[in-house]
Amino acid sequence: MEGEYFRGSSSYYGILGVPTNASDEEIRRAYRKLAMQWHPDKWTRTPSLLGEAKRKFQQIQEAYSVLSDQKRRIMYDTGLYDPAEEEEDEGFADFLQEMASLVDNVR
Amino acid sequence: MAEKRKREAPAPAPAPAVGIDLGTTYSCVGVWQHGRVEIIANDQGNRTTPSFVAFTNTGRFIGDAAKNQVDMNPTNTVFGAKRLIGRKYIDPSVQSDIKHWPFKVIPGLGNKPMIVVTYKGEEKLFATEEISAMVLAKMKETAEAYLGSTVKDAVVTVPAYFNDSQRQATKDAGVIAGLNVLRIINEPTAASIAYGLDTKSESTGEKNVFIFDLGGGTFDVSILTIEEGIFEVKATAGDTHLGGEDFDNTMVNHFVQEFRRKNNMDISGNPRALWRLKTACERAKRILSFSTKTEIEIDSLFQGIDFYSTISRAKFEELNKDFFTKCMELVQKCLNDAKMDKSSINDVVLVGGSTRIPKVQQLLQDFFPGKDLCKSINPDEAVAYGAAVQAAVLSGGGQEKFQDFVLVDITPLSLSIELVGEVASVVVPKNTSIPTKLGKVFVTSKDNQTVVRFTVFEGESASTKDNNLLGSFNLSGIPPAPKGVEMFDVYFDIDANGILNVSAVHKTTGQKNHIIITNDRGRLSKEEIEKMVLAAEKYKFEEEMYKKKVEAKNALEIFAYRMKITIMNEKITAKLPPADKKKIENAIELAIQWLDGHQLVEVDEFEDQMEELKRICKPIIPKSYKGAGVINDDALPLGRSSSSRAAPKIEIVD
Repeated sequence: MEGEYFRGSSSYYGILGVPTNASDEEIRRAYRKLAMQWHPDKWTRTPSLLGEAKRKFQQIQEAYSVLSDQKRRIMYDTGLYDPAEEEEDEGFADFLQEMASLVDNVR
Repeated sequence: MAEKRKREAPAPAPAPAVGIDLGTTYSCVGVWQHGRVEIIANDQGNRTTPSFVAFTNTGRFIGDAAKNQVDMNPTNTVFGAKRLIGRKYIDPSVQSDIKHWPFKVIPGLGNKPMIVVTYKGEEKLFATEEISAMVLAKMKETAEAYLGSTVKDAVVTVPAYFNDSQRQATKDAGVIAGLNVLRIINEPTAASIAYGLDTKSESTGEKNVFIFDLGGGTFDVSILTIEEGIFEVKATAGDTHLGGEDFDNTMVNHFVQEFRRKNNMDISGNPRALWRLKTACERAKRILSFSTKTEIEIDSLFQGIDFYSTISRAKFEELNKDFFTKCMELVQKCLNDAKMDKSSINDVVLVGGSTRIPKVQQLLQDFFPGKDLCKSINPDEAVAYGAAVQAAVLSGGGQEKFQDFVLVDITPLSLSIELVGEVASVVVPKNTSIPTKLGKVFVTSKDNQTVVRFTVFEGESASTKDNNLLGSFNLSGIPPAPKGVEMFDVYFDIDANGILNVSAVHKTTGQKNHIIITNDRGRLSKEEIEKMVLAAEKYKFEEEMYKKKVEAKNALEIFAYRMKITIMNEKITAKLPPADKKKIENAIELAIQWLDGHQLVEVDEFEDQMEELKRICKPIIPKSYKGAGVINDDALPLGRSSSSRAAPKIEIVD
């Protein structure tokens, strides 16, 4: 067998409820607020909603794992994010990051 | 009598869920009550209980009682079960441990290590889970004695770096002990809760905390970010076979060699000598945390030869240099995994008894320059403390207090699917926050492949043969096609309990299958667990019977001697006819003689003896006499007509 990652369709920014230009701090705050709300341990008293809470938390966790990592976020923003090739693409991410900072400097 | 009392008692209120730190050398239990954690002392008044189980001709002992008798009974006293749990007999670490242990371990079914002891004159085999269950049951009893009700629910801790089989086996031990394990949580994470709640009031903003947990048998490091009640584990690393026991063993080896040099004799085959040496080494190790030099003195260690030696702190550090280096390597690895620089760590927290070793503290201090090592939490109790908090959270106790508390833990090991050529394709990387759901697309590897096998592994090696097999399942009915054409969506779904569900769907036909990873190869079957639960209940019952016998015997003994003293008191016997006095004296003497010859007979026999003696002694029993605290007058009325019950007694006496 050979394997390749795929990913969900909703926007990670949408899941965390932050604008696409959100700062790292804003992303972190949004994640923590949502994690506190949706972690399944907060729902042990309402077992009927446990499954829903787990699903929500998993989405939040996936979005945060990408947006909280500068390199992954740049890849995601440019539509090139692919966890399967993450390690091999380190150099490419660095290149994109460099480009982004150049653009910032020009602005 | 006990039964009668039980029936009369009102139905006990359900006890709160407890937190249990099941350690290699010591265990600890805590409970959240009245807005705080109470660490519960055992029947000996100790807040930690040795994880020791002893088997003798008369019964079974757990905890302090077991540890205190190792000297007399080294081959039937079991400890360090945590180093065996969830491992195979052929595991090199198991092989090396066996060499240091006075009790016997043999390979059982499926290569499970089985512990061999002699119990009540019979050879018995125990699975590691059963021994751990006995320790857990002792902790459960300790909590029950304190809470006054039956404990059902518990959070049990394991080293963060334990693999799936070790976790599942620990959970099984909980079931055998009669516990409902709410969750298995990681020890450093639990300790971080103790630390986080402790410092909550004085800190604001985000804090990166490094937990260094070096215990009796295992070593864990974890990095957490704590802010406003969210405990987020970033990374964890460790060695499930590195701890105080290893430091003791290097010292033992050192002195075995010294003894050989001095006396030209090898003590390594003598369990009792090894145990005595180990105890002395453990004590020396503790002393070397305060003093730079200490002595080892053991009378008649081997063949009547006394052993006397000294050891310096420097020598101890040199003997264990490799272990300490390993610890620091894992500290660096954990930082790398968390993608953090050591300068971003705000606090370094020490957990586990072995963090008292000055060298360990010094290495950490050098590694984290300018940072105070946090010693404000109790290194022996922090894990149970955190487990008690998590138990309250999960069972819904202390609602208001924990409104702003949540713990987001991680998977310590990478999870993968096997590709052709034993290649591990990682789907969930290590240190991923859970619950998580991650997916990957896989394709067929052969032309016209109609069945695809999905095999799930855990571990960091690129080759599956060095990883831990978790399970596998097939997907069949795939239409024949060239290799690489048929595609499958494979999802790894992990819930908050760490339970992994792997599912695969064939893209074109929608055929699907899945596996819930709860049944590893080495794991006990449901039937085996049920059998062990029954056996555990039987042992417990036998123990209670033994206890009752001892109590009944003691009551009779005390009563007989009290009467012997009373009959010698002339003030009391003055009005007694000489014949009656003689009769009483005879009865007392007979009872004392009978006791000598009947150390542990059935409770009934002791009670019959007691009744008869009380009947005869009635004239001299003071009104105030309330028995010996065990058999009281209400339960066994005096002067009850008991001629029929007395009859067998005469038989015994004769």
